[in-house]
Amino acid sequence: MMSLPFFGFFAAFCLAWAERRGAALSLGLVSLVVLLLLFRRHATDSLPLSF
Amino acid sequence: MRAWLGLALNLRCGPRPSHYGLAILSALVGGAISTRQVLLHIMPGDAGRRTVLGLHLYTWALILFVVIAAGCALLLMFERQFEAEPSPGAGLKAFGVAAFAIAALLVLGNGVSTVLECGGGLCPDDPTDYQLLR
Repeated sequence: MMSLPFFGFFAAFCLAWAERRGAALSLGLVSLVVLLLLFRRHATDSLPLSF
Repeated sequence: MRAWLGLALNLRCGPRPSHYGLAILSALVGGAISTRQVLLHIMPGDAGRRTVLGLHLYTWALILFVVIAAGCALLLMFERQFEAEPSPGAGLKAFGVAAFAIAALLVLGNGVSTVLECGGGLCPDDPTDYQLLR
């Protein structure tokens, strides 16, 4: 599941090569959002900070 | 690598502000994630992971993301690049094709290695081996 953003970006690269600019930009943005959502679920360790 | 997509679009479709915007957004997201990982190993006594030139890879990633965002912001100031009508694909020289191909293959390679490391689910917090290569 965590590889989804990479494959999304690879597909966006393919769309960019095919000069489908809008689709590449849209897929790039969607992949970015997916990355953030996955990172939120993945990063569960609390930071070892104390002030 | 995510930030490269915007620059790759510049190579293939001509410079547009939206391409730089995507690159800057990607660099900001990458910078935020790198910062979190840097903070995870910031306490004294935390050996963390291996270093390159004295800095952890997360720190290098954060530095590179800041450089990418700053570089794109600087490039946006050259407004004459947007005056010419973009000519998609025209003049993409061998170096540009190679840069484009390397970026795309690195993204694909990272995707494949993530599947090997984490399978179909979420990656463990601190992966030590490849789940699909056990």
